[in-house]
Amino acid sequence: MPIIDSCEVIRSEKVGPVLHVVRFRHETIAASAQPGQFVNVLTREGFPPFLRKPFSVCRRNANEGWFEIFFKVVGTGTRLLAELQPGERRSIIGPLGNGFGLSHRLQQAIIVAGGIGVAPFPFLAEVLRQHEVTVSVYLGARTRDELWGMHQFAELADEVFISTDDGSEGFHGRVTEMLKPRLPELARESDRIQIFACGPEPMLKAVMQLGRQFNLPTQISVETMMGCGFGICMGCPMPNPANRAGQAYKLSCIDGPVFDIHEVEMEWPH
Amino acid sequence: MAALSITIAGVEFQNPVFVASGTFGYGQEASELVDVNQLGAIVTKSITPEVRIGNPQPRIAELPAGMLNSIGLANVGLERFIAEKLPFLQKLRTRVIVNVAGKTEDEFVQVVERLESEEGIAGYELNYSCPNVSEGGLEFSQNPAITERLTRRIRDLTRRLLITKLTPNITDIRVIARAAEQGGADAVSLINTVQGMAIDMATFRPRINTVIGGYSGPAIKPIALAKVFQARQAMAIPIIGIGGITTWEDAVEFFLAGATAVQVGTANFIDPRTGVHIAERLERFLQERGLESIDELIGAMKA
Repeated sequence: MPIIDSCEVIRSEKVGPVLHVVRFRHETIAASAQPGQFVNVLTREGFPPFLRKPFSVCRRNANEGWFEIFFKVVGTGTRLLAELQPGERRSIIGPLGNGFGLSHRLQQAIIVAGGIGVAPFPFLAEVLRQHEVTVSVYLGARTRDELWGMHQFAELADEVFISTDDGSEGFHGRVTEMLKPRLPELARESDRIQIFACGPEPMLKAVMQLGRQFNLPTQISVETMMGCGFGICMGCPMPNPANRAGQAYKLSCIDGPVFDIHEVEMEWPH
Repeated sequence: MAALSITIAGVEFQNPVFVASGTFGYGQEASELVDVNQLGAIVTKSITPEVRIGNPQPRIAELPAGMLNSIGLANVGLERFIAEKLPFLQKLRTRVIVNVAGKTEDEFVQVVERLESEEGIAGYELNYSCPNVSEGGLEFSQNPAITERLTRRIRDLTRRLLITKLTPNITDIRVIARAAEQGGADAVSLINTVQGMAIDMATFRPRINTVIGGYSGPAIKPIALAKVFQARQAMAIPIIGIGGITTWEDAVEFFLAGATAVQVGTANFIDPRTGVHIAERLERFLQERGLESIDELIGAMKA
């Protein structure tokens, strides 16, 4: 159950030229968050920006009562967040949405992250590790300056593969191109494997297509424009197969942001 | 909160701060974040006879002091509303006003006729002024003859509170407000969203799917206040003020301009407790000013 509260910043760290991690203290959110859930942060009192900004819970420590968000500075809201100093407070609603589903049969997790889409995965990898699941991470970004998470995954994952679109680090190309050669082998054991993906829309489309093609259980975490984050504005619809029968769009905020690839579509019906 | 209670056409509300249609879902969604029983009323998402899937993305665009929306009256439809959403609302102490929409006048009639046999509904708000649907939207609400006729048709069906919701996208709101009064409305609520538009610099595309959508938020408050004031001069039935209300001071301005109650809309997206906070603070304001009831504020602006 989400709460709305003022949360104190206890750490703010620049982790790349335009990448930041901000840690907030809140025992209830830290204790109740599940991997894949998000928090909706008011970046300042007043406006602009007018709306809250949603961020995946990137890491959390229930014992110490904190959680972190990871973001790239892209506009006014993220710039204001990057300027936050320890001791400052911001209104936060969370944890929100449905996180990643973890089957008890799961033995091997394939994490596919593109750019800031890496945000929910340090938390997920930690939980997977506790469940003794083998974790393989495919981490891609446009360029090495936008890569983050290698240190986290060095401890949390069994193997980490890096790609950059410009070849400045690791495999030169898309993260899904790096992953694809591995899929036929994984498909033979699909009942104990799960792909978890988060990243920009073209990447998610590619992952969805690969998951369907190789019949691998796949969950994607989508990022859409959101007005409220808790289901009242209906501003974050996701097309889905049931639309053809006249059924409503799903909402990213309360039906997602994590969806099974068979639950949603990435193209709008016409 | 006796000082805050108001009565509109015989229906008593514990306070004059409602939440606006389309900004509070069906009441249950926000109930984990706020005690919805502290609100004066919940106005539901618009209900149409059939399920409406609504518009594709992008449905909302953030602007410096507000937002554009083009949801397209997405809702579960009449029967699922009754089966799945109304039971939660019926258990509340807070008054429930069902916002009714349709593509034709007959669809409004259909929804209200069916809801008449359901308990726990204090009244209806007619949303025939949505700017984001191709039929049954703006062209209805800009026409005084249709306003009066539609209001009259619903009036003839119900003894419950009947509110006609008015659009600001019109030359003279006084004409439409009078038409609603003539049609037998117990109150008018205003304003619905202001027609607005925004274009993405990177793609040269419109920022919402319908190109032109509904503008809401603090930026429209002065427009709303002027419309409330104009409508107040033109007719006698109570006005429920809507438009960018975010703080208790905003609400006070609406009362002073002549509103009997207010609806908090877009501010709910940022903080669904806004309405409750405004009601609490209003009570303190009355005490501080030595006023016995909210009635003393209504229309009390000095010339």
